[in-house]
Amino acid sequence: MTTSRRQFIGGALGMGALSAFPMPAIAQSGNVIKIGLITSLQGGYAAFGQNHKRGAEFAVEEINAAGGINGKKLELVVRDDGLKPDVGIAAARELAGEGVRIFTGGLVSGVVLALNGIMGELDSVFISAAAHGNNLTHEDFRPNYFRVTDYSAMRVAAGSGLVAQKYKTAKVWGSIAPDAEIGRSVMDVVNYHLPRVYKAQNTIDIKMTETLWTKFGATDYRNEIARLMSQGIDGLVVGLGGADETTFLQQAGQLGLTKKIQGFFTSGSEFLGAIALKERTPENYWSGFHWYYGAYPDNPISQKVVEAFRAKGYGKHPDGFVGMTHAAMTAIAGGLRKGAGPTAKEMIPALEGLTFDSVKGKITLRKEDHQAISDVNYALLGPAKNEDGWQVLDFARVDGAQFAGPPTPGKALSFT
Amino acid sequence: MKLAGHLALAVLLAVFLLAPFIVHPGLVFIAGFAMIQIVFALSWNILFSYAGLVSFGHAAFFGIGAYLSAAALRYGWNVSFLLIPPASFALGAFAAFLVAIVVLRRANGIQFSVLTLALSQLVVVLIGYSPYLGHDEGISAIPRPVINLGIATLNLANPLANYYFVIGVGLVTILLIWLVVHGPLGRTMQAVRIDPERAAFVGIDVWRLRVASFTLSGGFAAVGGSLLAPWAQIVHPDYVNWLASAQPIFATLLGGVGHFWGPVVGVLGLAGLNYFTRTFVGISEIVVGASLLVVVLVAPQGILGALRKAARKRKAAAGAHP
Repeated sequence: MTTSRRQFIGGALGMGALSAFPMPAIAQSGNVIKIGLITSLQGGYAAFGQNHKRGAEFAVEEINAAGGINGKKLELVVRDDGLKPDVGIAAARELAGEGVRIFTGGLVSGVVLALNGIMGELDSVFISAAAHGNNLTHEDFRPNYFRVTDYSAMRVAAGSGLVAQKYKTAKVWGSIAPDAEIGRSVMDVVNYHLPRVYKAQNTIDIKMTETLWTKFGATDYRNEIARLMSQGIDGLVVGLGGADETTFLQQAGQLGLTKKIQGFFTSGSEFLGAIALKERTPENYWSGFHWYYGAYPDNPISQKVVEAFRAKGYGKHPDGFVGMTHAAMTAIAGGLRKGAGPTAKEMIPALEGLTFDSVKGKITLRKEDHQAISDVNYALLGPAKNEDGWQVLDFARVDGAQFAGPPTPGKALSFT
Repeated sequence: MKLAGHLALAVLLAVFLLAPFIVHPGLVFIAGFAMIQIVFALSWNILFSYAGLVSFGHAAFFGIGAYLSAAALRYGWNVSFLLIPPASFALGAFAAFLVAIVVLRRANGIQFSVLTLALSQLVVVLIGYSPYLGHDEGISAIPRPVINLGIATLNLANPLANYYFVIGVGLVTILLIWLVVHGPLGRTMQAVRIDPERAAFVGIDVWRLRVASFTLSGGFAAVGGSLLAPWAQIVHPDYVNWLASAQPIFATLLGGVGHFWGPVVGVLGLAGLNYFTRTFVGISEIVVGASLLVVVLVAPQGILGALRKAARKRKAAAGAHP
């Protein structure tokens, strides 16, 4: 057997490619603390993921400009999870191999659950900036996981209190939700809280009509809208999310449902529906936010983030995803300032019970289940004749402490 | 060509075996995941390249193994984890057998493909209704098992042990698939794929052969799935849906249709493309998509097909000018 020159060059190139692979376990260099940001930068969540990245970058710039933490600068390392749990895990393991022990980000629940499951093994902590699932601080609680935002049940319960205060005479409530775990869990909370809060605040017994269950990705809601209109409802709970919610809102507006009722609320779509629908944004529309910047004109941290967002030309309206990675980085900085090193062993006790100032005021990371006790934000959106095509007519900063429920790490929420 | 092929296989095997010592943990995770995908893609290729059937819903069988394994570990079933891959094979094969005797009785060609797709989506819906299987959130934070081997114990919580367990079971499964398709059954499958009527004429029971192929293929896919739970520590409906079913199809088309090792090349090609474009935020999908397009346009027979063609050309040229 002889080896030709071409074969030799091919083999050499192959060896070169192999040797170019990074080597394992590169330790953190002395004057830099690396923070891994794993979020979804492509697909339907790309806009939210980009804002995740921006919020974390603003925080890192601010912290480093002020001299860093204990003489060390923060460095953000960003990875895209491609909406896939295995891609998120590969990214976390890769960064852990480079010495990263503190992670943040997390948009879709599958990826966050996957990352949550491996943080212990990687001796790392994950400070979740947006994942909303009840399970993450209940039945799927892990000691290495912290959440700086409110969670689904807390937000929906606060929303129930809000509408009971705003629409005191709304006696019949309809609901529409996806026939999936997320939809069912939203409806469990609504069915539990809404009648109780109306009774307590307005001393009236409301009627909850039968929930209309839909499929993910549905494009035609006319039948559901017709049924809701025939139910004689005064208010509506929309448990849909993302593009489904936008499609529903557009059709509900066109068919007059949103004008017919006093008001409706959705738990977590931020500006998404209004940006998509512009002047077709329906009336009486309370949208849930991780952080609504307009609710904090008196908060200098919030104002600074808004200014940075606008100065960079990212747009006029920073959303809650910008705010929450900023809050996550602030929490991390708080933990490090308490003297913790970038390891799970030191960061967990430093973060437990930590209270810090954020874009939405004081946030406390509850010791027992690592859940943020913070404000819950809603904004009333409506159509407008301005360059956006929509406007914010009202907003709410609800104290979330009363709706956070008792900490039950390891146990599922129950409403029976 | 044959020697080069053997050499490439040996290098590939060496890279898999030495990966934990030469690359960082992120790439080791990708290597383990690629092995799982390879088993899955090869199981699909039994149908496509040998039996002449196209399944659009093969992830359902992968999911059966994945969820069986995840439930066994998460809920602490009192069984040795060594039994889980064979049990997954049995359950995956049984489910595939039931699907085959119903679907293949009536449908063929594109109807068969669409029916498999519909059935796999039904599995996704059923998982969504099951609290035991974690609804749409899947089963997460799956603990890694300790396997009692009699004379020693294998603790898969050790990343190195876990990696070699996945690679070991993967290699054994690949060997079994190779033996199946290179044995009498594989040759009969090829006869049916090339000309079912003529195969029937020479005495081959085409329907029974197709049912057997589908059953075996479903079983092997489930073995691949059973490795996912201890490896990724999460099993999610996303691994069962239509997009997951498309992965072995992409891998086979990229790697080479009609080749046993085509899906292996395809899985590694896709994993490599995804890895090297992971920091090109926003354009990684474009790069991956464009690469696939180039392969389809330039080499419709896939990478191995193009290599074989090039080798033949070289041989012919060498023959013409000795």
